[in-house]
Amino acid sequence: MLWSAFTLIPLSSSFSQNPFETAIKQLSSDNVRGYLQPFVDGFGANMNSGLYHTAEIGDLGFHLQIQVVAMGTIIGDAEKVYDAMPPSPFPQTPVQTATVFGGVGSTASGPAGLSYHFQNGQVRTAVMPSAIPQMTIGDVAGTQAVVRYMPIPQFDQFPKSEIFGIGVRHSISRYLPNVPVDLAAGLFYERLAIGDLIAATAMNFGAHVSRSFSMITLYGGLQYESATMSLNYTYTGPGSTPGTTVSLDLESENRFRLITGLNLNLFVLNLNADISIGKVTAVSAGLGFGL
Amino acid sequence: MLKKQCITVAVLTFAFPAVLWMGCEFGVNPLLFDGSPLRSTFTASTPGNLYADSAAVSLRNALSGVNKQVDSITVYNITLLIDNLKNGTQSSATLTGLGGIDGDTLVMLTNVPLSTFAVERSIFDPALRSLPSGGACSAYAAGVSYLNGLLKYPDALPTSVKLKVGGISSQNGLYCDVTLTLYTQVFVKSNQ
Repeated sequence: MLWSAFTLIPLSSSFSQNPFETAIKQLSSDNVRGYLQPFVDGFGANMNSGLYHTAEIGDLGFHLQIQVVAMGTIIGDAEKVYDAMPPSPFPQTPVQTATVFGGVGSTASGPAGLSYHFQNGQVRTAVMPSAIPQMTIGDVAGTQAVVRYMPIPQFDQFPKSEIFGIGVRHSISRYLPNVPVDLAAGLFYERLAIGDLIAATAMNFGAHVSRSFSMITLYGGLQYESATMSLNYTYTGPGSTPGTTVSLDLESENRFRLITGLNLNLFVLNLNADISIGKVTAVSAGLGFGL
Repeated sequence: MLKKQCITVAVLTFAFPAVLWMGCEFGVNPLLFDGSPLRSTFTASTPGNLYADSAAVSLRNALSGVNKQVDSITVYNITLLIDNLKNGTQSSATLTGLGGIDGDTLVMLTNVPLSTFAVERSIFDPALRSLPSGGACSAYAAGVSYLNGLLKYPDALPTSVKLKVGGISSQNGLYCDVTLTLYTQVFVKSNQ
């Protein structure tokens, strides 16, 4: 998740303000919402992905696994445009223009030959990727804990950042031993902070199911999720007065997601991959070591 | 063993993103910036009802704070503000006059009450074409076109342009500030 945001904060000669932040700060609060919504949706989907790869949780036993999990949200045509409102004195009718993942921004025509150009898209990609280290530890009374943590100190133009996540998974199969599949439920929470501009939180809860066939485990789940990204900046766009502060909470539009995946258990080495479908489609893959 | 695993995970965590982002392109289109507002304030201080003034404005000031290579600049709004009325100048007094740049007219006012521009207001506001008082304010495309023609080639910007205002008031004694502001968009050159 840190890497997703890092790539949208390019190097600049000024640490305190980079071109991406400058571009954002010139968008009105309504337009920045539309411009960044696909980024927020992808961010939220990534934060809420890759948290498990099996529903099997033992009653009591030592389980420790350290993983690196990669996720990616598919960026389709719908994620590349949004309806924006031009500033006065331009006609106040919505104009379809580019999001941060889109192409060239649209131009609104105004009176007396005026024209206003909306911000251009900045990232051309088919997938919005992320990666995070993750530790799973258990099993006590059919319960495991999942922890994500990655601090990045300030370096060059990249501000001090941190991501922290924690979750708990509990076996349902221990109450339904005759069900031929493994069942579990999980609850996860994560938070991310990048400098002073971006703060994000995500949470999800859901049901997990899996069935193992020798070294291969098929798994899936249904989860409810939410993610919020908070932006805090000084608006410098049209009509602004100096020091106008914008505090904006952007909510991911993902709510329900269906997950299906496959895990390969090679004793101390674990490989998994899954795809999840909701408002956006996301994929994740994990490489883990441990028992 | 655990330490080795942690090191491996740390290396992969930082190596993965580099691999994942292969095939992605950043900065594919030029960023747009709002140029610094170009503002000129004229102080009217006349016991009569005639007023005229002019001032040189550097268009290069629009690039203040933009430290990237500029491709072009366009004007997207021009505003007028008439405030700081004093010495008996009534806000209901009307003004007939014009504002322009070099030899081109940007805005023409006909019997427009000073109160119309008591707060900063775009000269392109459609409501100004026909005011309740019977007056009108018209923005001129020729002036905008002239201005955009100058801004189209930032490397060849003139040292300054002359903003001028002038007009006749309906009352004797005109004491106020008239501020004309140009708002621009700055197009920087693409990284591609």
